[in-house]
Amino acid sequence: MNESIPRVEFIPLKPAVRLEGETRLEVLFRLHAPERERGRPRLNLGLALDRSGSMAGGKLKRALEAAAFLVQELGPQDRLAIVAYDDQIEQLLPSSPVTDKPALLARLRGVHHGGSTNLFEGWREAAYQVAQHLDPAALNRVLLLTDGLANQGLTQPEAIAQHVGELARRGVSTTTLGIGRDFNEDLLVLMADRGGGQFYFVESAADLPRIFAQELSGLSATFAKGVRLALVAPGVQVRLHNAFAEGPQGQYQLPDLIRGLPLELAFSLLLPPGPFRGELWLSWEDEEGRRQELRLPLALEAVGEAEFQGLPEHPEVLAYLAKLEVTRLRQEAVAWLDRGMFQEASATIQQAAPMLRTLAGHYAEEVDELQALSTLIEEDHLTARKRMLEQTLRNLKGRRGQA
Amino acid sequence: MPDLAYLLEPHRTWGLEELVEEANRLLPQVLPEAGRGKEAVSGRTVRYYTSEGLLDPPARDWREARYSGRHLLQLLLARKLLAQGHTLRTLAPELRKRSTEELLALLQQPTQVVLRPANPALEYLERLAAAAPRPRPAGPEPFWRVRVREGLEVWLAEDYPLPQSPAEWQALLEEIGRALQSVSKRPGGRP
Repeated sequence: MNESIPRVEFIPLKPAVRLEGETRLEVLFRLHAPERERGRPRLNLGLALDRSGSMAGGKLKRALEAAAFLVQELGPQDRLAIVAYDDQIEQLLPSSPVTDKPALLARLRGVHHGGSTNLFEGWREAAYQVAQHLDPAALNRVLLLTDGLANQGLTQPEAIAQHVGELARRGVSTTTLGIGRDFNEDLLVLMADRGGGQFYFVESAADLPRIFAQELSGLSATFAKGVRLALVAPGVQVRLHNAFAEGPQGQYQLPDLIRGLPLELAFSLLLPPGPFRGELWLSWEDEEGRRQELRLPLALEAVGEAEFQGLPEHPEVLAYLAKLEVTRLRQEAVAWLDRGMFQEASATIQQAAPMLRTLAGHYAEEVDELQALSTLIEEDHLTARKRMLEQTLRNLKGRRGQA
Repeated sequence: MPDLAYLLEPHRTWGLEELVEEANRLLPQVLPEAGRGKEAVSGRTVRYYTSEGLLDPPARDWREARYSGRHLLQLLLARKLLAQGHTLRTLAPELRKRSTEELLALLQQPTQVVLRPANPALEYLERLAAAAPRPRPAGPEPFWRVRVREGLEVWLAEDYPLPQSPAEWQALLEEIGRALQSVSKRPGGRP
């Protein structure tokens, strides 16, 4: 097997189309990065730490521990910058190779909590540190950690997210981490979505080291970034189920391709009568920053109506469609919560019950999450809302939760 | 390569035609490998490079454009780098950002000049910083004073961003509540 190109699974709901008459067919694609580890890419990270007054005590302490964890995990080939922000921006560590670890750790011990939250300036300073050392062959990313709302400087979520998105297109991505119950999840989800990174809901500060480890292992296992995909199917109406930004020529911009973490996406096709011939086009930047491209022929044979009706439906596609449906239910439940209608939100999540069995064998983590949500919504709707948005973004970006 | 530092003597300025003439006289020294006359520049070249941002805008002496030694260095260096395969787009920010001393050093380097590739992320953030100045430094600031009720006032900075959503209002009011409670708890503060 070729070790430098991704492997693509093409799984149609049914293995053939109608000879006469149109066929509506759901198809699932699963993209796998090649297995072989070639050493991890260089990391160029900028950490923006919220040290506003509300971070006082346990949260700031845990955040600093998580930063210390980053220092320990990185090596001399990587760069790290650390910015602490409240209404002032303090550069704790200008972007530097991670060589003198004891000195870096000592700097972290000097951080104390302060005033209000100029989240945008904190992000911008960390981004500036990363951008100064922009390296096309490295992963250039800002990690923004906050427990609050942007209440100083630029505060409009859409305006902030626009800058984050523009920067992501220029090679610096953004991951956001929200701690506790008081942060603005709409802002952080939007930033991560446009920023091409992840959003993590840190329910307890004690989870921070684990979540940093997860982010770091994702970064370390990154095989390809700048991934673009197009489905070339003349005469076929194509609709993507996932939420990927679409480029000018119908190319979708996909998240980074990570080893050991397949990316799943589904299309709904409306096919004309007769056999289907198409092509999947995939393009990505490899570990050295070179653009690569892959074209895969797609084909489905046509059969008569009676035979088509009798064809089995693929259980993996059924499970993925169920996953999309329960993702939609979460979005609907959030909309109910926003109108203060907790019972309706809870009832919406309970509509997932009949789908749990379809999900169970394939996406066990979805079942756990939905069961937890159905009670959490009425007990603690703030936490439930944050979890649902985290899960929705993850699912629409073709990822899955930790089982 | 002769020392071109003399071009920077302050009395040396040129009109457009004189600049073109001076550049064409120097070009064979800067670009010895190019065929004679092949790389010659014209007034049109200079105006085009200026509009593309490779050259600083010229000074104006009455209605005539006046060019300095720095303009001449930018023009010669643009010619040299374009001949080496750089593009107008990547050169524009490089030539105008560099100090005159750097331009001179680049021009006099005998080997091929290597420019770092343009850094689009940094450029974006620098533009952003130029558009939106950083938070103001400490010093006198205008504030609004809002009387909520007898004995209770709120002071807010002139440009303080008020909450945008019910959730943000809620969070702000709770924060104010917490701040007020701390007053009543302070020993000797209030009964």
